Amino acid sequence: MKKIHIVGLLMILGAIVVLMTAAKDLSTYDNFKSAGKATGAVKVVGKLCKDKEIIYDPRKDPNYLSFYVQDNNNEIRKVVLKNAKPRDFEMSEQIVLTGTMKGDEFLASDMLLKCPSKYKDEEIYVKSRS
Amino acid sequence: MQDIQYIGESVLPGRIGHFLIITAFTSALLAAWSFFKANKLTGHESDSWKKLGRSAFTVHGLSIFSIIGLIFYLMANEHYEYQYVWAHVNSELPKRYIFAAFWEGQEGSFLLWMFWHVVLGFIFLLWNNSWEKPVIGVLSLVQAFIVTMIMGIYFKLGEHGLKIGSNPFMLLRETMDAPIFSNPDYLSKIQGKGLNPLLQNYWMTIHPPTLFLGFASTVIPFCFAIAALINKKYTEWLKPVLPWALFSAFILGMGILMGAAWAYEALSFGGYWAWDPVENMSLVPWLILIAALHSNVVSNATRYSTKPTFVLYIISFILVLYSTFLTRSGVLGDTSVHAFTEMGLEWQLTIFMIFFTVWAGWLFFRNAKHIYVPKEEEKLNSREFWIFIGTLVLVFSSVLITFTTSIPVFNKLFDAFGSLTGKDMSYLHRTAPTDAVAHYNKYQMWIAVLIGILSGVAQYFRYKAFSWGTTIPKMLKSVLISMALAASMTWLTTYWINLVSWQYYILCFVGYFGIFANLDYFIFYLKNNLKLSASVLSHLGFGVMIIGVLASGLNKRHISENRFALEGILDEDKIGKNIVLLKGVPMVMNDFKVTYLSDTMYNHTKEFNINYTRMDKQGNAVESFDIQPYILYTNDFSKLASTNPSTKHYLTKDIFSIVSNLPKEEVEPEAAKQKEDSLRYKLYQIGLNDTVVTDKNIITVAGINKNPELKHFDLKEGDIPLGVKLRVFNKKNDTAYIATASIVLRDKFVYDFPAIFNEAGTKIKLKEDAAQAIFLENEESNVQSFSFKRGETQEYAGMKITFRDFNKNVKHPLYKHQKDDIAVTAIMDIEAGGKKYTAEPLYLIRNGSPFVLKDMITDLGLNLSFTGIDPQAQSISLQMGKTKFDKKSFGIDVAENYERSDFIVLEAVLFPGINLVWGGTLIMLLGLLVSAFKRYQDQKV
Repeated sequence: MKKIHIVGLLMILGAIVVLMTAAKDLSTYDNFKSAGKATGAVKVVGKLCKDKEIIYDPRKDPNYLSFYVQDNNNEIRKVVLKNAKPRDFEMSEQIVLTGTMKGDEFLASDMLLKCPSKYKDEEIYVKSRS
Repeated sequence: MQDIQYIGESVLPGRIGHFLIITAFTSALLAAWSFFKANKLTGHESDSWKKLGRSAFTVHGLSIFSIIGLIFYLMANEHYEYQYVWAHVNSELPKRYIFAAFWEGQEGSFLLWMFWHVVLGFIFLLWNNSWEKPVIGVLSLVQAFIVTMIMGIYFKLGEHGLKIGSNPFMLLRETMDAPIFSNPDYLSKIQGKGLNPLLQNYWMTIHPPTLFLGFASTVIPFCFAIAALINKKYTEWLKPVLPWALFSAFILGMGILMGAAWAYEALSFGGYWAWDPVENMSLVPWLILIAALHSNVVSNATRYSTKPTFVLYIISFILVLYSTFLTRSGVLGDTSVHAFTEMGLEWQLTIFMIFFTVWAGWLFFRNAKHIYVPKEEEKLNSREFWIFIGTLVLVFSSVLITFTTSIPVFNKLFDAFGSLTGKDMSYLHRTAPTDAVAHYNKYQMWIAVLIGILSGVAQYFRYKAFSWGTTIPKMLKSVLISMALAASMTWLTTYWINLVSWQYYILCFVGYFGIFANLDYFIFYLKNNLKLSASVLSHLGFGVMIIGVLASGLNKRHISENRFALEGILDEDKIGKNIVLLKGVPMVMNDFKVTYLSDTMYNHTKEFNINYTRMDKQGNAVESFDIQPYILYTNDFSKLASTNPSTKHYLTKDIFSIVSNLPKEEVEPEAAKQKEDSLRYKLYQIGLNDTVVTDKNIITVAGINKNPELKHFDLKEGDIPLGVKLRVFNKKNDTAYIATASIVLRDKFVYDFPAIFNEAGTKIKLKEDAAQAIFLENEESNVQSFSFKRGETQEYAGMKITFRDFNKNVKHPLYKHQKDDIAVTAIMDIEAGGKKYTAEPLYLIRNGSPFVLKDMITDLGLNLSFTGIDPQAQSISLQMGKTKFDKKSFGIDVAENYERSDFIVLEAVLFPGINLVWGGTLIMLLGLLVSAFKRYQDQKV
């Protein structure tokens, strides 16, 4: 067997191992119920409850945003994001939250909004992290 | 609908455009056919096919140019009857953004791609070499495929129509069904949608063409590879392809770098690289191209690695197609910030990709056994061996990036499989990593470590390997010295930035090792020969870039936190990334004292002027500068379109600042209305020099301003503006504030410009009767007529009034110059009560009729109207009147529950060593360019 073949084989083996471990980073979407059981950070998809209270008062704390989200199981939870309120927040059609459950509240570390854009027929995304 | 005769539509350009698209398609097919024919035949027959091929390709190229020209023509003249024009241009769009508007849409960017293919094709034809026939043949075939993307042909196929491409010359009324199209004159009633304000900047003008030239240029090496396989000239192409591939790697790298710079400089992402799928899919073809180049250099010198060279060039082009597929098919929708959406082109793009993959794969495997491979394998101490390892590392990196980026594709494939087998496969669905940046960095940093080591060590090895005895001692010495220097520099670096963990120490060390090893190689092996410096430059640049990434990425930190104010009150994790800045109130933020000074509004942009003053430990100011982040409102001011950072650049770091939030009422008209409704106004009567005492304030009229500053308001002729300067003494704050409440009377309307006292939480509106009290009362009964000669002085109501001179340079606030106007003012000097005033009433002849615009000295209550000129008597007629407003009172509405809205939420980030990222990458790319020139010159030898 040639050296190159050995190297190639090692590379392929390495690739398989790395891809297997990398695949662990790829999560499935959770809901609030399963998020409560999870130990680490999870991703929850849901909709903003537009009829419920959205609190963001930069005069008090520019890094505190709280709102209610209804997940795909129709469970509604209060969500807290320690960051400024992103633009077009109220217009979002879908929210992907990353974070953990803390008691009854979901503490989000990252939020991805799916918003309909006024300019284009296509949709744009707004990211925010804390 | 068919019977309506529409007014003002010009449908001819669209018909020509569609004809040109068909021409471009057929001529590309003809060119491909002819060149392949010419390639197969020999002698005279081949020549005549080649001639035909050339003509066909020329026709194709000219068609593409004309299509582009035609779209520009339609855009420049705002032909909104065309959907593409309507969707991307409007009358407010500055003409300099017309390029950006052109390639904002899918069709435009496909045209841009084809444009570069044609340009490269023409250059190739002029270059005139033996590869012309097969290379341009393949290129023409590629073009034929891309033209179909803008073809716009519909077939009836069962229930669903089948759509081939999206034609940029579609009429608006053909693409949508709206009641307005029943109006024959609809065109006069519509306005374009215009370019997304986020994209209205110079980056959008320069980045896409560069990136697309990068993508487009990968086609030439691909064509070469295919040509070599077709003609079974497996090694002859290795030399001529090099300059093309090097140029491609340079320009694609440049395009990616520009994208990173745009994200960093102008967008709110707060960084230059976010491992976004669209970024990844432009990086991966570049990585493969770099791998291919290394493989190519080796095979050119030694004939080793010839097969990988074929494979890698082919893959880099296929990956460009895959990248196009990902960004344009809408499949990335959930994961990327800047992907296009579905246009129904995904199956077409899939066929495009599959066709060239299968064709190239079939050609390669059919020929693979004939491709020459040296009998003896690469020696362990040869350069070709280590370069080959390097290319494998790059491929490895690309596989990892592509794998994670392709998750949405895998999900779609599971679904497709599921729908075939009738099972629900959605349990196999995965989402992109929760923390994408951490995920990619975790693996790619080890790739960077390997590349760093290889790019240092591999330089010292020779092709075809010398014996160990002679090379090793010298090489070992170089490597050891470089390692020692790298270790000491790593140690020094820890005084500058925090390297966090052992992994980053290794990466830092490797970065420096790459720099020193290449410097050493340049000085002691190449003897400072600049002509051979290309590879040294690139690898050294890579090392510099690594150090820059470590500094700016690992050590980027938010400085917009007020530890001083919050320490002890809040937990560490509650110290956020944003601070609130009240207008005019300095805030301490790390070493800085930050003050929001002012804001200015022009068009749709609001710019904030913010001062940063750096303080030393004693609290002395050591440095001061202003930055101007801005926000952009949408065309109808209904919300924010974007918020854009401002960055203070230093040699060793950048301070990046962005307005991350604003009071709601400043952004949304709805919130502003709600806020206004919540105010409790109380009416007070007040006169000049009068004072009223309210619950919280003592309010005094401090003066009248006949020309007040009015925000977002253009005065017209005939408007009567009035400002009342108010002094508000706030009892709680024990401080007095001054602001002006204004109104403008226009015909029967009153425009209201309230005075806002943020610090006092008070808002005051001027009632309409103020104008009556100040301007209009008794005006007529009080007026007297005068005649003045130049220089003459007369007395009126205890005032000395002198007509100084005429002024033809009219600058009256209410006067707007029109063509053929005859306008002149009389400069009147007034002396009263020991004070001097100047008034300039205006006399105007427009369209043969005289107009008079009076001037006022509000302090004196004096009106002056310039009513005529008597040329014979050399005099002017003037009417003067005096109002007695000081006796009159007027109303003010006072609300004292106003929540202040003069603040911004600021986010500021420090990026240390960011210039090393830009500098390092530029050096790396410069190396590619130098090499491209050198390899181009080598062709002639």
